[in-house]
Amino acid sequence: MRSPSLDVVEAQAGTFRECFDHLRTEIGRVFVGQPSLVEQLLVCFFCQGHALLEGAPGLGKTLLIRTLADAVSLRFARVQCTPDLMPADVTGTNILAEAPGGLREFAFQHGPIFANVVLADEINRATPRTQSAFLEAMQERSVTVFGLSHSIDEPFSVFATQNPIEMEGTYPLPEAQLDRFFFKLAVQAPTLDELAEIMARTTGATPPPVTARFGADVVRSMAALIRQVKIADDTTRLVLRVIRATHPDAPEATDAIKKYVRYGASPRGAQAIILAAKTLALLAGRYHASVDDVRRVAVPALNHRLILNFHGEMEHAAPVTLVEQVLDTVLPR
Amino acid sequence: MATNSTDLLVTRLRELRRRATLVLFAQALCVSGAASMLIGEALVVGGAAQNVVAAVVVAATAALLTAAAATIVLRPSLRDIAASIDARLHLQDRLVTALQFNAAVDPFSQLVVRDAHSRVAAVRASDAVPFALPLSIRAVSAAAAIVSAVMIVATAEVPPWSRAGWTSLGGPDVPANAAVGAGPASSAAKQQLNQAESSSASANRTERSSARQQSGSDRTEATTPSVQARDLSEMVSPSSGGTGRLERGATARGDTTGTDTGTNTPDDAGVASGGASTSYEPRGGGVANGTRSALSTDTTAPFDDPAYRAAYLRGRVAAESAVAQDRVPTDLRSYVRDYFVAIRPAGDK
Repeated sequence: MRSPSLDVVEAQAGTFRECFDHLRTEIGRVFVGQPSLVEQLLVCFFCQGHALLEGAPGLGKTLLIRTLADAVSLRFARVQCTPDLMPADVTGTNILAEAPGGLREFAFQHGPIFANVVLADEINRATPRTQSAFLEAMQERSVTVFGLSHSIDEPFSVFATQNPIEMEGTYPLPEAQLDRFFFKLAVQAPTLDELAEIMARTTGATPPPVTARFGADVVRSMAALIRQVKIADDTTRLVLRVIRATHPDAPEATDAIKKYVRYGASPRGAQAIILAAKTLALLAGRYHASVDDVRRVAVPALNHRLILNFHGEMEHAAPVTLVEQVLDTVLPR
Repeated sequence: MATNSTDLLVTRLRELRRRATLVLFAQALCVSGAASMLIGEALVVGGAAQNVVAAVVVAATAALLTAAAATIVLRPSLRDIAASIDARLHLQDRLVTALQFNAAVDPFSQLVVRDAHSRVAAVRASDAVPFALPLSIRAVSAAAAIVSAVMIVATAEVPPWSRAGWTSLGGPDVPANAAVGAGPASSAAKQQLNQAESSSASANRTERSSARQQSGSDRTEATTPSVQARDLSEMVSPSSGGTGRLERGATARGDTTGTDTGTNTPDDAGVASGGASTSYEPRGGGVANGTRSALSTDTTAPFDDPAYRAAYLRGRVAAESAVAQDRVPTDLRSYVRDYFVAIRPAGDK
């Protein structure tokens, strides 16, 4: 005699895997290659996190986010960040509108941040003032305009892109804002075969279709399901040791961390690792997160949270390498 | 259902823990057994333990007790067992997580427990907790076995037939119990003994001929000199030119001090036709057995009349014959020799 609740949970877990596979398949119709990037993006999306995609121009960053939004039939908004972009252009503002009775009153005009999936393209070209407009929305999931707070509907994810080259005229994201991104994902250049496939798909007569099968409710329920996945205390403590090991003044810190890092990952990094590990566990048909799950998600969750010091900047220390060294030190194989 | 899975999981883990405890006991026994064996052999060889059987029993008991104590102290918890099985079978932390949440009633916890139980129930106990010794323990045991074997071979008692054969081939006689004191000190003693015996061989033959002429009753020895008899005569004769006369009892215990601390007294230079121009009279300083040392170092024996000398020679030849025919137990031969050393006539060489 099985408990009905167990059947329900198992069905939900099956639905989650189905949704995840559907999105992966649909994105794969449009976006060629880089399966790990797609998986990490979907993990971030189902965890209701925000991702920062970094890559050279023309690698499909915008296409990837756009396809994701199309595949889940959510409201999608794109903000092309430029130096003259104003915060009100992101959050929205009060405008004077005429009421039915002839009266004129201010009404809040929602900005693009109120979409379910927001693409902030080339976010490092926006001024710090405009970048900060994303801060409250990303963290609090609400926007305050003229003293009034406007909540943002779930699901809500901001996917920002930035170009690692052409840094002139850009405003690098401050550490506080970087910390609000769940993952930082690197978009790699396609291989020759992938490039040939891209050419075949994009220069043909008909663009590949994307089918949307589920909407916001499913995504919300999936996000809630992920949070119920169990993680052992030992595994949690390992995650926390990883976080501690990224701090140069911590006893767990590696020599490279002590040499190149000014400040390590925040508790948000641990939250991101645990949530993402739970997502991978559910995707693998398990109801608990393991150390291997932690290892798989630690790099994208932490690589943008290490603040390098002068030596690190001068010697071009790679945060990804530093995080991998920490993982090798802390996490058992 | 969930409670059933929880109980089954804990029961299964307890079974595996019992097996792991046995494995741990076996591993501890290997280490403690090796250590006890080596310590026991060292005690026997060093002379601290006289009875080998008792030493073996004590060593085995100590090994068992040590292994049991180590097992009790290091007995793994259920969590340790779960973690080790997770790692061994690549269960992705299933057992550890299930063990933590086995008391929870929410569906996810129950699913975790059920999943873990289904995995661990399908695994054989020998796969989950293999009865294998780690490489380090195997290395320690092998090293101990090798050392033990070397010690046993080095301290093994040489059978009489082997000594006779060796001596007949021209090698120096090896006392039956001389090698018990294995080790550097014993090796040095044996080397000294061999040197003393080889360099005094001709002198001894001369002495034996003289004794036969005087007594006229040692035809047996004259025709077929026995190895043991020669050994006895060598030990009886104090003028064993060379590096010195070795005290038998000291050799048996690996103690060479009685030999080395004696005063070298040139005596009867040129008498020994075999070139033994120097005799060594140990004064007994440092000899473990003080009584025997005092007897053997008495250089002013009062028995000097011809009747006593003749009686002495008769008795000595009889003793040599008894030793040669193996009628004297091996362990008692040294006492016979020491006795004839002690009662030898004055001026007897």
